[in-house]
Amino acid sequence: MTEITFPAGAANQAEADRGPLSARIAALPRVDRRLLLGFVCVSLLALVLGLGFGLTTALARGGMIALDADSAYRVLTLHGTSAFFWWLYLAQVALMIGLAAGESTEGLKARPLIIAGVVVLVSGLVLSEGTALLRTPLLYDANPDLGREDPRAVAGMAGGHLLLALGLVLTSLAAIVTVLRARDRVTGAMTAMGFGVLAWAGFLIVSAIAAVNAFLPNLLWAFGRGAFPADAATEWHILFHNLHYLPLMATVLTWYALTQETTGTTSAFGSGFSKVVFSSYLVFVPPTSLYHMFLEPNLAESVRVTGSLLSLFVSVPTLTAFLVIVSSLELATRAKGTPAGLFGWIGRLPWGNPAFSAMGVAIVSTLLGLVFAFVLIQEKFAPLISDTLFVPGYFHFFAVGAVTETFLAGFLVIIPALTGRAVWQPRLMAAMPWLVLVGLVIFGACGMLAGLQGVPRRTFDIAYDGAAPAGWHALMVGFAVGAMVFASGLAIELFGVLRMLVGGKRGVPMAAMAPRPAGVPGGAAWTGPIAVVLLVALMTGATIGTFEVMRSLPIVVVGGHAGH
Amino acid sequence: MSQERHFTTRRGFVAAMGFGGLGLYVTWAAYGASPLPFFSTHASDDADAHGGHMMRMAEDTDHADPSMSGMHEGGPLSPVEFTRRHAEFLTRFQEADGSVRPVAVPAAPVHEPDSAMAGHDQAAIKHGISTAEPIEVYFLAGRFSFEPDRLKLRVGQPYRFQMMASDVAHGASIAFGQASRIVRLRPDMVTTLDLTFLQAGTHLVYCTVYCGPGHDGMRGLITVV
Repeated sequence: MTEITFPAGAANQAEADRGPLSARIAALPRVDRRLLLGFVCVSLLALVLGLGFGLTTALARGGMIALDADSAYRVLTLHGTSAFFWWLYLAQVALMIGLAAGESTEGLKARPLIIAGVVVLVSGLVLSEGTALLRTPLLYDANPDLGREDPRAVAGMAGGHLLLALGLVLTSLAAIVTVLRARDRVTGAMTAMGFGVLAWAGFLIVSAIAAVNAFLPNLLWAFGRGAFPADAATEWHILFHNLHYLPLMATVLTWYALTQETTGTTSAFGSGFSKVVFSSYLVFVPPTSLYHMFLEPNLAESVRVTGSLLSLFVSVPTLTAFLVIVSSLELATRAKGTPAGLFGWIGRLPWGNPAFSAMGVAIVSTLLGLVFAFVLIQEKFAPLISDTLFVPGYFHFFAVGAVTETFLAGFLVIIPALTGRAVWQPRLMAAMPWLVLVGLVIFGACGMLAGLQGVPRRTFDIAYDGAAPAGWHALMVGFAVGAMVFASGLAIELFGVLRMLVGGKRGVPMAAMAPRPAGVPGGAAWTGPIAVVLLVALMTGATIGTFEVMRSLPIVVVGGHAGH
Repeated sequence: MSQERHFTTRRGFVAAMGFGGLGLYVTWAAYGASPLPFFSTHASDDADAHGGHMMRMAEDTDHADPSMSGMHEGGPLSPVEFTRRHAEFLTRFQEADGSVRPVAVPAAPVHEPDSAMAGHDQAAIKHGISTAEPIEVYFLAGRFSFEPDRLKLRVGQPYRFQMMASDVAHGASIAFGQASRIVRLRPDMVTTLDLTFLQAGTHLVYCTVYCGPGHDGMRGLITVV
């Protein structure tokens, strides 16, 4: 085989010359390190709440604990609000600010915006959690229909979400200012990560505007200053799509940073290509939102067709980023003289590093999630699986396995740099993401099978006085067991992360690899493409299986139209 | 040293592989469920009269025969008209035990198939489905019950379900054991669905959209004989 090297781009070289992210974070001014720690701590509080309420929800659904209806839906509201809104977005702010600060040798710019952001976000978190705890449970989408008799609940939930949106705008603006000022003073060039932070912050601001569009009418109605928000469901759907792809974009950007930090590998495809991939989220994600509305009775046929077609494109940015990272890793690792064979190089990756281990699990979990996400985007399946347990069954592969594991991996790099404390029990911390994955597989398999059989997504008592199909209960027990397993792994990871904040041993961070100078040795990189082919095969199998389940129904159905 | 990249590490190859998810279109097309006509299979006269067949019927009938499209002549029902007909439906068909058994009144006219529907009719006859006009069923979802909550229907008889939520959004899912069939219902919006049950049995109907503290108890039964 011919040894091949790629020419080093100037931007790639610049990235390689800056040194590890952890070293750059450790060198930040004290005030910036404190601000970053503040965001990390508040986001971890939201994760603790989200995890606790989530486990309670799963146990109640599995029949392992008994909750009355009001408590059950309150716990579900608290779980969704804490985990989906506050953990995923506060953690994004912490990482975005951290990565932006890492771009600059002078630390964060526009600090007043960040300080205002902290105040606004903490106020929003308190308002959201307090409302969910004390008022009528409206679930995390703050459905105003459910709060017609309790406008204060609508006001509190909408107010919390709007404060989150405002906090995101403030902190995103600060991140934008920071990375723009960090550009090369002579050429104006920006690193791929700097560009990624710019795109990320921009997407956060756009989503914040969508949140205002969705929740401001609710707030005005609750204060008696506007008509009842009859279009709340539609506005929520538009916002929701961005809301769950933003964490995925953040995940990919964090993988990019972690790959450099834990292996020293920069992209073999150049900084410019990475920028194209990052910006492709802005191109591919917003137009693909229609598939969330397939079950809406008044959806026009043209929208249904367009939505179904566009939904096929939703994975383009994530799959491309996956290929860039995996192929770059393969090329760089093979260059060190790893064993022959297609996959031998994988064993040489730094699996003992908890951050890398969590990232590896996140990548596997993303691929598993994609297999089943592509079942859900087929509009003909909407009457079969939308509003069923299939949905939480698959999306926890993303929310927990992909996004949460990645964000925790990011924290495992950032926190030691901020506190000077070593990672707690590195071997245990490297093993826990795999336990989480095992739990997710049990949880996901049982949840999706239950969903295929029709178990509703948001119903606690599914016995229906003995009228429910016989197999439902056993699947719900499996669902709860899976939740217990992944929650246990996640709780230990959380404890480890908290030990780096409080009471942990002083010590050096996990060895960060100096970024490898550009000019990655070449050769073939088959693992990524093979994984994509396997992924498409699995998607196809899952889709065929679902078509066959649908065909087995002893019923002929025509229509589903609506008027008025 | 060569500057030439292996094709697996070319940007164009990686970008193209990023579109790998589009490969699923072929499977969709094979099941007649692709959003565009490219490569899509068409409903054959011998197609299964099951859930899979429903899609082709829906696609064809939307254009071929308004009487089978689920839409009324002159447009969909208004909520007011729905409410009136729903009350009349319950009065007319409610039995002593509280269940509702809708029947055709008057006798359904003989359906003369046009050429576009001939294939479907043959398939329907093969599967024991009546080709008579569907019997109207008016189904109301409100906090926290369905009305009627017990329906008695006949195997092979087409029923036209006119459904509406009266207060907040609800769902109505019919459980078949191995899978369910779900409809989402919005307040003051009449949704029409033509259903033909192919086997006898008792099926749970339950709400799939959280609608308040009584949501878990919102259920009904459809008995097919």
